[in-house]
Amino acid sequence: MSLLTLENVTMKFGGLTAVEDVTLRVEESEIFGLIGPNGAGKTTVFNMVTGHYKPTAGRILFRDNEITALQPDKITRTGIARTFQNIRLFKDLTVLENVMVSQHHTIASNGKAVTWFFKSVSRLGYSEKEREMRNKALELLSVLGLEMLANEKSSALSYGSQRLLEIARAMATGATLLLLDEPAAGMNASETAGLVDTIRRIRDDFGLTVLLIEHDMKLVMGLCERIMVLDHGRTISEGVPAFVQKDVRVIEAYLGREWVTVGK
Amino acid sequence: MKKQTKIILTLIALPLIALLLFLSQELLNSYYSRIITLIGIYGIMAVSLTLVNGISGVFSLGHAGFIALGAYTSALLTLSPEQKEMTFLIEKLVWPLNSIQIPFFWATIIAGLVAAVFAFLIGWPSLRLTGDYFAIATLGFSEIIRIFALNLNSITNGALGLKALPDHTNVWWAWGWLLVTVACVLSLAYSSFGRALRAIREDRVAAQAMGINVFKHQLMAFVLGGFFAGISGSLYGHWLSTIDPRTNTFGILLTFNILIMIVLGGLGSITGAIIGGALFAFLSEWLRFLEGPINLLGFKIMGISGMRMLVFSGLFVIIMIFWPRGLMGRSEFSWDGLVSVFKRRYKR
Repeated sequence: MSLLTLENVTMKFGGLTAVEDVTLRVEESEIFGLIGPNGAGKTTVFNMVTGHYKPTAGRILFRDNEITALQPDKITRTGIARTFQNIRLFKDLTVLENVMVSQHHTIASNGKAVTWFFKSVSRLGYSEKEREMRNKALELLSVLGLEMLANEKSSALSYGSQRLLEIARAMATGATLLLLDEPAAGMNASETAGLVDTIRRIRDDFGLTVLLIEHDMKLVMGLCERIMVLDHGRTISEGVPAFVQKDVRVIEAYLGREWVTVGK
Repeated sequence: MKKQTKIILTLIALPLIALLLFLSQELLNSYYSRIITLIGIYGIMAVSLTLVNGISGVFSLGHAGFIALGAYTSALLTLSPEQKEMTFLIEKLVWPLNSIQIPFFWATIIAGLVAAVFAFLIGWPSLRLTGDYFAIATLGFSEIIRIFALNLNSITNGALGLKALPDHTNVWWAWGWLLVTVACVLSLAYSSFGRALRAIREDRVAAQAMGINVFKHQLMAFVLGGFFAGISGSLYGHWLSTIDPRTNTFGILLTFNILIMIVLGGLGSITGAIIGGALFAFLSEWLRFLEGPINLLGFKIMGISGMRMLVFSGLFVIIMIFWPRGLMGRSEFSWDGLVSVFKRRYKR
């Protein structure tokens, strides 16, 4: 049983086919990379998995349960959380609050939202749960090295820290599958190296599975255990990094046909 | 500052405010005590709209509709059957309403509940819209309420409106309900629920991706906002002692006045909303002198009606230039904040 399965998924926007017939299996506790040139449809795949887009055709399964076109909040509650390519933090909230927001669904999911609403107004049985959430959030922040910044506004953080905070926030949802959309974008070389360690560490310590999109090939080749390459919405290659790196179709997609025939 | 000190300071401050209110009742004439009551009512209106517009980020323009609903509901419940018999000239009032009279407190509660039910009915379909579209939908709703009030002769007495409402609203009712409103909205806003609402305000897509059911949360905030709007409507109606659907007292202008209050105080700040409401009530009364004849350096200027609003808008522009995020921004009043303000003053 794969953790996440995409079966022949297609996404069309009017006449434009962004993703065509993609089949993908992510196994439990692996780090899986999704790469491809700009506009290949990588983020579209993420948006379909997390329910922001409804696939035109195909099915998406998580732990053998179909999650195709569920609402994003429901999908998060089944255990998939994501970060965003263009950072989407809650800017006016503090770093700590950003992480605590993600735990809110654990107390206010489904029918319980109404009860929790009255609990919040009346403050009954409130502080204990709040303390629990706060402690868990602080723990996650220290895992990502952000505990010193807990009371800063999240918009005051550096770009690299904001990316890390997005990871902490996604982890706080209690998800077992993390979808990281270009986690290293905008980071310098040393930050990127730290990120590689961090992603490995959280995978091992928290038993997570990571599916990531990245353009930094050094990071991808060093970190991912398996890779899938998309081009123009189609899968052109899949396998371990060493295989993908040598695949003619991949080189062609990135560098052009002439490079393959003449360049060598 | 220690948490204990803050609690003690708060426990001292609340009776102090109560004492000041009591003294104002005793010492000031009825005109001033009416304005102090109005400040309380505006406070409730502003705080309830802050919950919706400032904290949840739902841009509602229908607040006056809920206030009008509350005003009509409670007025119909507190007027005596004889009065109703005399007032309803066009058509007789429908059955259960024409023969009941209940105490002001329960009438106010029911007014709040009726407004909350309507908030639910409006919010359920239209909260699927976002931003400007939702604003237009709620604007339409408050206009519909007004049109119904004008034409539903057997319930609202149509264009004649309701007159001679019992003079129930005093400082204690207004400020008591303000305290209840602030306590509820504050505890909600600074709970996990409120945090989720603020997250939705900041980024709807990300909030949903973090497992928050955006629609449900916004709907509940909208309904609670509607409830307190209904409460304030009941108080406002009994403060005015007439409900006239032909004037703009309960029309769209009221919504914009409340918007001015909360933007003035700082959109998203509960204390800011109260300050904004107080400032609005105070200025709009105090500036009345502009509309009477003025003796300016020997020149006699005749009173120009509307001058008050002109100056008021000018003041509003000036405040927005110097405090673009309102007087309080998004922060709340805190004892620490007060101390630091004094410290800064002292150092200079």
